[in-house]
Parts: sequence; structure tokens; C-alpha cells
Amino acid sequence: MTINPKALGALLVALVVTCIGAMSIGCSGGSPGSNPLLHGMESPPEPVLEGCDIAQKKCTRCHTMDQLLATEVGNPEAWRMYVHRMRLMPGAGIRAVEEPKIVKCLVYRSFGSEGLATLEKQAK
Amino acid sequence: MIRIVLILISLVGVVSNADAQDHDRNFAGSVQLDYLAVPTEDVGRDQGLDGATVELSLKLAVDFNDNVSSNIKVCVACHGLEVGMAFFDLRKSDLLNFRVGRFTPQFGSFPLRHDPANHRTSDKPLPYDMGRMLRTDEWNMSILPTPWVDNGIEVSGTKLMGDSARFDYAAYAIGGPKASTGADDFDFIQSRSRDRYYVDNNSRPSVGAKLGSSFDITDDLSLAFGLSGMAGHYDPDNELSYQLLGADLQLRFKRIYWRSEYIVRRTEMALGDDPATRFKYGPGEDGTFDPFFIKDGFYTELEVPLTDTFDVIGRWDGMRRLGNVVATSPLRSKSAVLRYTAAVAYRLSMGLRIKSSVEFYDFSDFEDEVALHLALAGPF
Repeated sequence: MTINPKALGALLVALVVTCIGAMSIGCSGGSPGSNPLLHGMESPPEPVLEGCDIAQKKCTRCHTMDQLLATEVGNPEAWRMYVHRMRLMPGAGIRAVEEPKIVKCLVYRSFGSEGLATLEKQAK
Repeated sequence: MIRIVLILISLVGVVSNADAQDHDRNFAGSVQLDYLAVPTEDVGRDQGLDGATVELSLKLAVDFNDNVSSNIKVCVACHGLEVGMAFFDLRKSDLLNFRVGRFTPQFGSFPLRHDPANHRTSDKPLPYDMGRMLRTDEWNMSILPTPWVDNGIEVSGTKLMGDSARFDYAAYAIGGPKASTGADDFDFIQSRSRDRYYVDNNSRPSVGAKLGSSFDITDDLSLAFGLSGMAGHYDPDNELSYQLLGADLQLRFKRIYWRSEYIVRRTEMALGDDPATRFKYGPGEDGTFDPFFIKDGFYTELEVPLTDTFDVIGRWDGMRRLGNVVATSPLRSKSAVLRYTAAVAYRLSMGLRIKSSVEFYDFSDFEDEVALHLALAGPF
């Protein structure tokens, strides 16, 4: 099959757009402020920052960030079981050590410091 | 079907209430309204399912404890209401999990993201397309329309290797694809027809497996790849076999994703009593008709978030069919289609995103076509 010139044109447009995107990302970097999971949070603790960074990288492998932002659960323990279930999905790419870190991010996002305290109390 | 869904949802409610009141029930869903236009045709419907389509999914997940959970998902799309998930997950350890019920078996990478809220384009890559590609009837859809939902059991597990690598496996037995006696390809309608019941059509399961691995090379760079396979018979008499193989590769740099997959299906065809009349092409040099065809396809896709709210996507995908065709088919013994897609996705507000794409179809057997998508999509 010969490639149609119109097809090449469409591909070229796609490549130009994606290259501009790549350059834009390169310039803006990956500062914590660019993580949508942290939007609306004021001075989150360091473990939460780390967990949200991991969540942004790992969860977006299968889900869009929109999906992550839209999900709500009833209590901190529910987030722990939720993330545990997700980690064990084939292809999730989440390591066991990352699971509690992601949970901290999502619990803090949903329930704030009180949620983290509840989670730690239940862990004991 | 609606009654079945209500009964299943009620059952989960009963089970969860019976054990304890504080089981968390997570309700989630997504909607996509997509309009497909074919500006190169006066009547786009002749080429495919153009116009407006709605894809809705409603999902209920219940975590009974760390080891047992249940998921039920119903979907509404072109084919009406379907149960996309109805299964229990039983987790013995990281290395041993059981999934029992109705689910999408592990094959390739895209099926994990099949929900419209989980991928940035309006439609799916050609090898996984489910009715939205142009010339879908002539091609008898894709290689493995996704989500492929089936009844069965799946065993899976994960094993860490060092600090940065993870190995996954999954193996399953499902009902498998269906067709009538004497078929020349899958009949996808039979897989979702209540007239044929939602059961195996030949009393023998199809089996499959996937092996995958992922590596965190640095904090910003990760690599994942996998190999998948599925095999079985698809006719009621267990005479027509098929084999599916797939390979997937995914590279992430910061928030930029590059994804590629290749899948191939070998499908046996019934030659019938008079293959010279049944098929378009005559026998080979040895005087016999090949009783199979090969259908393979690929996609490679780059997803770049320009900002938190604006993504651009470039995708190149294609499909090929090699082998004899029935006399009435417009395809040839070597047919191909290549598609070039440029797409953008813009988040209007939390959970609501506009998707738009331009697709150029390069057919070997038909006039080239352009397709335009405009969609509103989001999870809730």
C-alpha cells in the first residue's frame, strides 16, 4: 500500500502538535503545583506530596486523572482497601511499598489531617 | 437483562449488609456522548455507525475486606444495555488471586483503559475497535472488539523483582467467541444476543494468558510490556479453531505516554461442500483451499498533556487481513487499512472533558475517507 500524501499531511500535523506539547511539558517541568491531586490543598505534609506524585504517575497508566479526581469513598479505610485492590490488578505497575503512600495522598485529599490520623489509628 | 442487573445489584447489597454495615460501596460511572461525522461521504451511515452515540457505564464496587471484593458494571452503548462486569475477586496473596464471574480477561494493554473516561480519544485503536471504525461491516469489526466481556474464571498474581521491577501473570478460561456451524469468522452479535443465551456455545472453554512486566527506570521514566495469548474453538461443533497473540509496550516520561500494541488472530474457516463457489479465490498451487485467514493489526500512540487541562494525542493504527474471503465479500485476499489520528482533549471542569479528533482512513479496497469526532466525556 502506498501512503497517501493527505495521510502524510495529517500525520505531520499530529506530530507538530505533539512536539509542541512535549516542549511545553519540558519547560513547565513537574512541580508539585502541577499535580491536579494537590489542587486546593494548603501545605500538605511531605508524605502526602510524595504519595500524590506516585499516584499521578502510576494511576494514570490505566485511568485518566479525571477518573482519579472524581472518585469518592466513605471513609479512610475504604481508600486503603481500594488502592490495595487496584495494586493487585495485573498491569497496575504499583509496587507494594508505594501502596500506603498513594493511600495517604488520597485519604488526605478526601478527609484531610483527621483522615490520616484515623488511618494511622486503625493501622495500630 | 434489566432484571438480571437489578438482581445482581440487590445480591451485592444483601451480601454486604449481611456481613457488616460498614463495607464501603464505591459507586462510579462515566458518560461519553460522541458525534461521528464522515465529511467525505454524503451518507456516512453507509460507511459505519456515524452520528451521535452515547456510552454510559455504571459501576458498583464493594470491598468486603482486603481479600474479597465484588464489582458490577452495566454499560449502555450502540448495542443497548449490557453487563460488563459481575464478578468476585478472591485474593489469597499477591501471587494468587481468583476472579470468578463475568469480566474482561487480561489481554493486551488497551482493554484496561477501554472505558471512554480512561482514554483520551473518542474511539478505540483499530485492533480493538467495537463498531466505530469506518467499513466496520466489510471488515467484520476488529480483531478483538473491546471490552471483550465473557463468563469464566481468571487466576492472576504479581511478584516484585528488586526495588523497581514488577512481574504480572494472568491465566483464564472463558466461554470464548461464537459463530454458527460452517462459519468463516466470528459472529460478534452472537456474543451479546440473548436469543443465543449468555453461555458457551460449544461446551469447551477458550483459554488464555498474559505475562507482563514493568520497570521504573527513574522517577520520571518507566517501561511496561506484555505478551498475551488466547485460543479455542468458536463454532458449536468444535471444529473451527482460533489463536490470538498480542504484544504491548508502554513508555512513560513524566506525564507523557507512548503506547504501542500488535495483535494477530489466526481463524479457521469452514470450507463447505463446494469451496470453489463459496470463496472468491481458487485453490493454491497444491490444489487445496487454505482453511484459515490471518488478521493482524497495530497501533502506536503518543499522549502529551500540554497543561493540566489540555492534552494532545497522535495515533497511527492499522489492520490487515490475509487469506481467502467468501465470494460476497468486498475485501480481497490481501486487504489493509491504515488510519492517522490527531486528537485533543480539553477539561472544561472537574470530570467533564471535550474530545475532538480528525481521522484519515487509507483503505486498500475502498475510497479513502476522513472522519471527525466531537465528544463530551467524563467520569462521576
